[in-house]
Amino acid sequence: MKILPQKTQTNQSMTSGCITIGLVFIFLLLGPLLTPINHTSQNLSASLQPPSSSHWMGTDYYGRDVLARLVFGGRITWIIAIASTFMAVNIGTIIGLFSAYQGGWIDLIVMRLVDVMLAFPKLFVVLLIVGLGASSTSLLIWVLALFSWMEIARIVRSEVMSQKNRTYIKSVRALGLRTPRIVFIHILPNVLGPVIVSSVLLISTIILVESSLSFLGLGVQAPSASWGSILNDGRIDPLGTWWLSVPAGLLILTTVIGFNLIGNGLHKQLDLKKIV
Amino acid sequence: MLNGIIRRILSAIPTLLVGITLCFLIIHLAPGNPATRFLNPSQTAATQEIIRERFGLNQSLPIQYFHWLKQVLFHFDFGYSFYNGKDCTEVLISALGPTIILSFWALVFALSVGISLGIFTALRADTHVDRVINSTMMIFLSTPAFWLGLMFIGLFTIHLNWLPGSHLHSLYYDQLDSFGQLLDSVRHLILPVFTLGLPLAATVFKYIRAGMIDALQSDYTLAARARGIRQSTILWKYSLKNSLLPLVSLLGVIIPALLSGAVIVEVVFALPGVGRAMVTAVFGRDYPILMAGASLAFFIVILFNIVADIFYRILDPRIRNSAGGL
Repeated sequence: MKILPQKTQTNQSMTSGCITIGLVFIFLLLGPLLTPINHTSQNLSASLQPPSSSHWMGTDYYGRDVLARLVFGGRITWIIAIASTFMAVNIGTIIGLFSAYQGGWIDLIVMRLVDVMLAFPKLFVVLLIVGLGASSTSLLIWVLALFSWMEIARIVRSEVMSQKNRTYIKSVRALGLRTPRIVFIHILPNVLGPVIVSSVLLISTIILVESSLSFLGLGVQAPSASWGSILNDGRIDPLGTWWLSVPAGLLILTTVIGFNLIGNGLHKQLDLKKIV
Repeated sequence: MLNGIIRRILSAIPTLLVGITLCFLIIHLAPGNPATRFLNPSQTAATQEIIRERFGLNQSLPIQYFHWLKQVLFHFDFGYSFYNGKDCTEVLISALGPTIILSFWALVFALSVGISLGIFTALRADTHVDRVINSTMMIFLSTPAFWLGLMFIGLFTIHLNWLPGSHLHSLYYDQLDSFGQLLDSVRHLILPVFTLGLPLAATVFKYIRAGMIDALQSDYTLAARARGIRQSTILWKYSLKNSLLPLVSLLGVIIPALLSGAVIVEVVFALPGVGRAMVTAVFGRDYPILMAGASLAFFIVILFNIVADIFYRILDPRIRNSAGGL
């Protein structure tokens, strides 16, 4: 009796997450078909126009088309989030595998470093580096990745720890296989489940951090755009110029909810208890 | 027990040292140079050298580091702001007040809302009420704090004119009587506290709800019920106590989130706290303030981690009595 509603809910979570993310993805992919205007072309005589037939989502202070900026900014936000997550997952997986398999003092030092880095308030540190450096998209991706791998490393480590003394590993070791082969071919596939779940959830976290930075004026720089920087344009009168602040905020919210739903769905589907 | 606590505090010292060293390195190795703030091409080489010397920027990085560390550890001296020449420690201590007030009330709000809604929905798992509250909380968990703040300001400050949307006090604060001053401060705090507290409340809610559902379905609850213990006793004495435990260790996650969130909320609501001071310092390339602020944030997190660990071990007899525990 108990299994049935749980199964339905799992599918609900995954399905609604996939639909949400699918819709945002289609919007970003096909967006340029909706508006032929370039996202950087200014028209000061048409500053802060509300939505109309020529500008479906209105214009900003410089008369730039908000719809074009939402599409372009969304692509930037997505690229940054996915690229940093990809890098963070790779770094975290390699460090976690290495640390757990080596054990001993290497493991001790690596895990202490993970503790130290987790104790940094993420936005605080990323803000420092990105703010002090010349804010470029590639620097932003790097910094976000370098401060996001720790959770993944922890999960991989604890999974490897539980796998490495199992019989199948002992037997491949007895067969004389070399460590890298054991780690990558035999252990890694068995720890991938939790890693996939937390990387989907990590995309959401990174989107929130990136948009916060861009909102503060430290992330993606003008004339380029990200959803966070578009929101910043609507800061003076958030509801008066709602076409600047509401759609960008809703897009961030929808994307984050979408990825969270997929993460939760996968979490239940794979029946993982350890990650929240 | 006391031995264990002392051991835990001592074990934090290397972490703290590594952390503040990382703060120093991050700031000094980040692209850009502190000296560029003061130097411009129209100055003569001699002037530039004097400026570098004045701020100790002509020395090598290790020497700068050891000098900074010595001042911090033995004199609690973080140097002087590049921007206005004020003592960094004083600047941050005065900025700490608003941050503590904001974070404290946001935490109180998050815990009270998160815990009560978590229990409420766990008892009604899989009903319509549960689904509505759960979805609402999921939305708050995914909402960017700055957007929530902007929407609050737009609605409650600009359009409805119900609550102030910036600063800690009104301009006429000094002319009010003490009750008026209290009311004025409360009115100024409502929107920032909600903005910072709602996403946190959602996090707390998620943990408590999951913990309570687990606890209510556990064997010990079943055994207690079989023994005829009253439902309310089971709920308050056993289930709640066990589902609150993970919350203590969650403090380690909540505190960094609270500090990160405070940066955004302080900027949006123009509150003179540490977060806003840091953002201003980033724009002004005020390196001493940045190093002091980053070290302070790190110190606060480590402190709360220790407190959470100690509490956790006091509350959980399994850890308290185990050989490796406190």
